[in-house]
Amino acid sequence: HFPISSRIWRPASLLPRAIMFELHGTVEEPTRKIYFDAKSYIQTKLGNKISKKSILYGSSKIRVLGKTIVEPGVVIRGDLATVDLGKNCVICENSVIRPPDQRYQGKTIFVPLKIGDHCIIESNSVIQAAKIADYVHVGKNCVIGKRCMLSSCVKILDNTVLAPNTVCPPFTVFGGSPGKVVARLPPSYQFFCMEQTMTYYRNFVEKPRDPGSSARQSARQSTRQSRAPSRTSKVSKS
Amino acid sequence: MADRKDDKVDKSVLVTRRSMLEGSFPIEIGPNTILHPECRIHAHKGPIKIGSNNLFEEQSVIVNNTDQTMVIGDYNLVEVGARIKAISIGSRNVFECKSSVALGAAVGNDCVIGAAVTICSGDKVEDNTVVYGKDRERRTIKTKRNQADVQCALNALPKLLF
Repeated sequence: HFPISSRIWRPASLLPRAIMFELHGTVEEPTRKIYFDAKSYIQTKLGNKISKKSILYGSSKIRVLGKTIVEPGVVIRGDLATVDLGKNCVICENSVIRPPDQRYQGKTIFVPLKIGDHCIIESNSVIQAAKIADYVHVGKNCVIGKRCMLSSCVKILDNTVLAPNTVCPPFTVFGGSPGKVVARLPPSYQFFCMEQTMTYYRNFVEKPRDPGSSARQSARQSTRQSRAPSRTSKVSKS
Repeated sequence: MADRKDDKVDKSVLVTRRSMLEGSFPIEIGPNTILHPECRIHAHKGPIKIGSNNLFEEQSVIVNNTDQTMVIGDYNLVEVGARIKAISIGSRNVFECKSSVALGAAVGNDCVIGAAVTICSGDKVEDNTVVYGKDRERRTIKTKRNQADVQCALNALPKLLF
């Protein structure tokens, strides 16, 4: 019996445990659901769940492949250059996804940004990479510098600052400021990441309407109608 | 809000849709400055005077919590998430992503404040220094590229933003 809260709750299995990353034998299926308010999210045909409070610029240039979750406060700058997001990505609150700029023959041009499938970008990060491949986990408060190239199966720890033009080889863990290789990842990290994102998506579920509260709502409506009969009744926020 | 009539924002300044000029004191912005979306300039307890040709990127926060006028020079680049609370900022500086300059600090000209660096109160960053890394190491270099970098970005952006 889970408490229904209005805030987004993240399962503990999504948080990094230690700097020396060791893969557990099995991934625990998170038992709690992550509830979101259905009215504050847009659900597209491809299964994307994009918060209405996320700030998307140049949305015609933002391509989201499917089953991606974009949480409130995220800023995606599609107006500077095209932004491609893969499927099953999770972009947590207040992150900024911004295509990097490049000086070329005396002019500044903005380089398109590609993010691969099954990526998790945690809250308050600034992503200015040129390319993020699949199965990448970026921690909180990270700064990924301009024109970085993150290969597949890379983990960026919390609070790292990646210098511009860093190339992250696959199966590495980057940490620190400036970001350097801190640990290595086992080859099964790909499946770990895939499971994490897929279970996150599966458990990212609309808040079900509490039958108790709907009774309260109808009681409130009836009192409102008796007081001000001219007003049209409106369902209060659940 | 009444204060927005006292603002002296030049006509060539590009103030994008969600950038916010807040506070109860006038804000003066010089010509050719670009304010990206989500940038916040908050003249909380005192006026702010910003020079020309500056670039304020997303989630940058410029707050004046003192009575005195906060002065920011020309050709500064304030990157994503940078927070400036200091009163005197020079020209041609670069404040990289998530850097923070506390109240009571001062920044000279031609400096680079690296990513995620916090300049604490009472610290004065001299001209031509680069502050970087976790331990806030400093190095004096001749950074003459800052103005050209900002100028290039300023040329390219008005066509992309609106």
